Amino acid sequence: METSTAFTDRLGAVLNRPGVGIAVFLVLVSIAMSFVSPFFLTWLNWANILNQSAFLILLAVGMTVVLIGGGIDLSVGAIAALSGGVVAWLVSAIGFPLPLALLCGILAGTLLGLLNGLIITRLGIPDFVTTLATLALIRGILLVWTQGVPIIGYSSNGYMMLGGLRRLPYGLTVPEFITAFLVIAGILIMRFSRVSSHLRAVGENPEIARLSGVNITRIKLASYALSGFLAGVVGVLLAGRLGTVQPNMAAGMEIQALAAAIIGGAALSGGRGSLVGAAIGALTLVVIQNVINLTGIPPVFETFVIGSVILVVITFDRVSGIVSGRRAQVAG
Amino acid sequence: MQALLVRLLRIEGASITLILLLAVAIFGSLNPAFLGPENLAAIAVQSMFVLIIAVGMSFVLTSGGIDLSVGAVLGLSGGVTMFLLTLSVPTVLAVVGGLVVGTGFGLLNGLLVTGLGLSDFIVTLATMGVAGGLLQILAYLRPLRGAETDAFTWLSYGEVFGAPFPIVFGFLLVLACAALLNATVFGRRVQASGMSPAGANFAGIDVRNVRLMVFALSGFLAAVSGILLAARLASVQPALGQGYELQAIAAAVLGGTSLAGGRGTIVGTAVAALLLGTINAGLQISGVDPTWYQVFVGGSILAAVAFHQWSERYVDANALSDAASAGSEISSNPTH
Amino acid sequence: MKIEPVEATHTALPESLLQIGGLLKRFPGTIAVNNVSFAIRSGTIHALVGENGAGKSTIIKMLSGVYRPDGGEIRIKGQPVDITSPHVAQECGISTVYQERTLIANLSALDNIFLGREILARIGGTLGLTDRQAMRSAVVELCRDFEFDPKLLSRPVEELSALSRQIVEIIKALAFRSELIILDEPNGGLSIHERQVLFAQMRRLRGRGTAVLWVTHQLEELAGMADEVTVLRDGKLVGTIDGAEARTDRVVRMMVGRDVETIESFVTGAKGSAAIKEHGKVVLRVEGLSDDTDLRDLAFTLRRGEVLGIGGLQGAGCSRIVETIIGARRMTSGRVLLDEKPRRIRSTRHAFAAGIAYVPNERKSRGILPTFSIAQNISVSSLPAFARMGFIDRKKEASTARGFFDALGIRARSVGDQIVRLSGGNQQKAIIARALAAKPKVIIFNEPTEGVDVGAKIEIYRLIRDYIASGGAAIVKSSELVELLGLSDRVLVMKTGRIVGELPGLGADQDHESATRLEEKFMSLAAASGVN
Repeated sequence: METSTAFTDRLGAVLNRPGVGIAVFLVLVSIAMSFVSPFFLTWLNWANILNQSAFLILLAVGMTVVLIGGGIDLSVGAIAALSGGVVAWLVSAIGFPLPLALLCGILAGTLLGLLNGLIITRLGIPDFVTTLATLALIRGILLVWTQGVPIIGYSSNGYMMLGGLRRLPYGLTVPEFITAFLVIAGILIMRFSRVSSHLRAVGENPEIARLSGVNITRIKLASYALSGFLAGVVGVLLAGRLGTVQPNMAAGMEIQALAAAIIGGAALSGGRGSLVGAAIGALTLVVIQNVINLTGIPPVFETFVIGSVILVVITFDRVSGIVSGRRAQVAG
Repeated sequence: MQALLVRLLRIEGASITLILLLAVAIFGSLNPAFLGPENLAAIAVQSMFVLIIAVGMSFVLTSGGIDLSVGAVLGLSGGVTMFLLTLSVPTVLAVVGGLVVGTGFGLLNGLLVTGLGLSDFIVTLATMGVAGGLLQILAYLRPLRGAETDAFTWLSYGEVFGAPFPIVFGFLLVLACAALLNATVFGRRVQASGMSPAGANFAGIDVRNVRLMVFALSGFLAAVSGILLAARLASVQPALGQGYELQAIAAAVLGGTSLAGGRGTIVGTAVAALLLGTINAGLQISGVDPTWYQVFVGGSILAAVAFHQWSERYVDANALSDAASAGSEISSNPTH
Repeated sequence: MKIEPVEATHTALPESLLQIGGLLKRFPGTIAVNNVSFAIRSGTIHALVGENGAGKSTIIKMLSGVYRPDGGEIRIKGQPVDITSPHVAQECGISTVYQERTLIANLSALDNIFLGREILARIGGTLGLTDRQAMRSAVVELCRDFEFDPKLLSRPVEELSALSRQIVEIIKALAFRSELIILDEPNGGLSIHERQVLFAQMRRLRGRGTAVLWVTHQLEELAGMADEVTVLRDGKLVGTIDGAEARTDRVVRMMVGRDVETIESFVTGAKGSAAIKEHGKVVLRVEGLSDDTDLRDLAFTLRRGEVLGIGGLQGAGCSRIVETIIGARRMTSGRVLLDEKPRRIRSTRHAFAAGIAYVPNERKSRGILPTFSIAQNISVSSLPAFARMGFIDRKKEASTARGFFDALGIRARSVGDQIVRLSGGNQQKAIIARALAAKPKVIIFNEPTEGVDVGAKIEIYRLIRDYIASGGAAIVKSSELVELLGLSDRVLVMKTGRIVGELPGLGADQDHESATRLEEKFMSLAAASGVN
């Protein structure tokens, strides 16, 4: 009797972990889809899904770090586009060697992230206003700079490989490895470094963090710089994959990254979030897109479905939180 | 000089009106054709669509919330009306249909935010996706054009007392909403709720109810704007309304509405919306690349918020120093 | 009775670890700490006592780098220091256990204890990698002392009981070899046994040569524990006395001074009328009220012309009762009747509509609407009364406010001034005016004199009395005993969500018991252990 309640308690605790619920959802959808479309569970399809989700996973992880620190970064899509533009332009117009251009592109992304952090910490402008404004600013700069004309003529075999347009054996791609490396590094840092507890403290209660001697400004700056860095990585890889840089490249990806982070258990109120959850959340969104494609639903339904999924997830999360909160109160 | 600056900073909408006049003067001197009454009227009409949702946004911001879905709801409401027109539904019913959908989305936002205690930011972000997605589906089902009735076209091209209807409508709307926010019981409750949700609650204000109404109002105004815009464009594209929420926020904060809640000005917001329209048109007429407009929108939000924070500190510091002399007299007053 | 301020005797002695000289802190409308000087020696327990609002917390916050002083100096071992941030305070060897909970819910107990002061790993420490094993073994002994299962160290604190969280807070402060440890009322909510453990730790710290600055309300424990006791009143130093001489009655007299006399004389002045007065019909009846915390099955009545006090130790549920009655919190069962008619109160709006007005505690965040004018703050609870067709009549609003200025003695330049610019007492009177403007049947006061000076206190008591005399009824929740017993006709004593007793107020007391005797009775009810 006692062991069974202990077991259900343990099970409840596991299910309550960020990302676990959505992972279960993902498995269920996959099983259901395997009946609808025999193609769904093939390696080829999953190789596609993984290749497509690599970028979103990186952005979602960056977003999660910012969310844990109590912020939000709506400018990641625009930063990615600008970073990609920098590489494309340096290679095609100036003739930089690719590795140097890539470095410059990632650096540009990191600096823009740092700029977000500086505006937020120095001028005291709320996070979402700042990044909403820099989203418009960066996009605008890209538009003015390119005059709306895509940048082309920078592509090469190596760059295509890097962007995942060309595949390695077994259908694997370079971005998948880069993503895997960065996400694992992130998970290790969040597990073993004090940065993790400082970040959570700043996000949950900046006043307590300050009283404990945590340098809030530095943590905030670092989280935005990291988010900018990851957006920069995404941007330069995406430029390789697409072969052209449109001024509206990666438009709306910030919303998807945010959605993935929140589906993965990050809280907008700060302090909470899981990198693994964010990765699973991103994967879920890509699988939903994949399902829409495979089932022959017109692609115009995609925005609606994703918006609805976010709405359902946050509502469900809240309602189950209220219910389990009641239960806990009764038990205590 | 200092006192003058403090006083000027305190008058709502004064500084933004000055900036608007300055912008008109600059563009006029660059190109005298800019000052033609036809052109100015056209700019005003073009500005009305952002103006109307910016007014709604001002209410939401003043109540301490934010509504990112207004752009998408604007597009969807216009799309629904157009959709109904293509089905040969009478104009009045088609317009009512658009209004119901917009207000419904506003209510949905409000219910999710107040009923479940969800963050308004994420809720309206999600409904932005839902509404925007629905418009894409509508546009996929049927081309949303070529069904305008005369009555529908009149909404954007008709004239009242010799002035274009949208301008007359916008003017009346601003008057009504300014009165609503500044002179009525409801407006006072909106301000109190945004200024201090706990304080308002303990003073007997049903803050959740206030916020629900404000979200509904924002959705309704987005629908109004979307229907007028659909009439103006005579067609609805699947992406109609995208990015309008940003312009609405920009107009509201430029006008002097606080993002932190509690303080809002409808007149200032309206003037700022006209300013955004003027700059958009002015860039085009003076041959500047119009893509700069977006840079301006983004930059202006940052600048306006930073300026507000500075001016508040400035007014506070200077007002405190003169209150301190009077205040010491108050506190030294012996208590009996 | 007048107490001569006792000069701090140890200021000049070399063993002084920390010296405070002429410390000053102003807040808008009030001086929180006014020219306070005392010294703390190493290897001693130095108690800091005073009523709420006497300035203890402000001093602590200046010592721990939360507030910057507006004047005076702080010296450590004779060297002037400028404690600009909590970090600097830690570097000066000062660590603090705050009165408010200061744990991050989503972090493990261990991470909380070492937040900002992690032990870094030898390899990778520059990357911020921590040595969890070293951190764990650094506190495992402390955990044993406090009977805190070290296994719980890796659990998020939100999963721990309230008591365990409190222990984690204490371990957090003790875990570092600080030269000065500040304990800001650390023992609220601890059982007697746990308090003994805490005291043993404090003595051990003293034995190690550490200085302990101990802020406490438990005056009876002073004589046994403290080496020195510094008493504050209204932001000023009353004096520092030897711990051995710190008998409760002496300390109480130093703490309350003129306060208690004025309040007592005020109460006795009103006594005649209060004792004779016939209470009217029942205005408010509460039946079987329970909520989703520990409020269970509460029932009481309030009659016209009566003041009902509600008191108890922190966490007893007094605030929750009143917030539930006014609809700010949900009740799971029970009902509220006004004039014997059941009213459904599910929001504060319903409460005001039913005739219950509320004067909240925490005036700054819950009472005032800061950037509204005084007139707007007064009218906000009864706006429809000032409106025609939904439009507010500003002239009527202003003239009503002016009426309250005269009636309540609100001192300000004009009714159009922003309320934040007023002193605490005047703000509080404006909030009371707001409640009166709603023409209520009952006013509920939550800490009616929180953060106001003595003069304004008496004025507020008079306002409450006047309101009662004019046929009103009031509930007063207060954590100041003299105020609670002095204002009320009856006092309900709360403990862990239940009513554990009822006492007569000072004014209505038939047996004419002394204030001290009543206070003792109250404390024995409120602090009794083992009832549940």
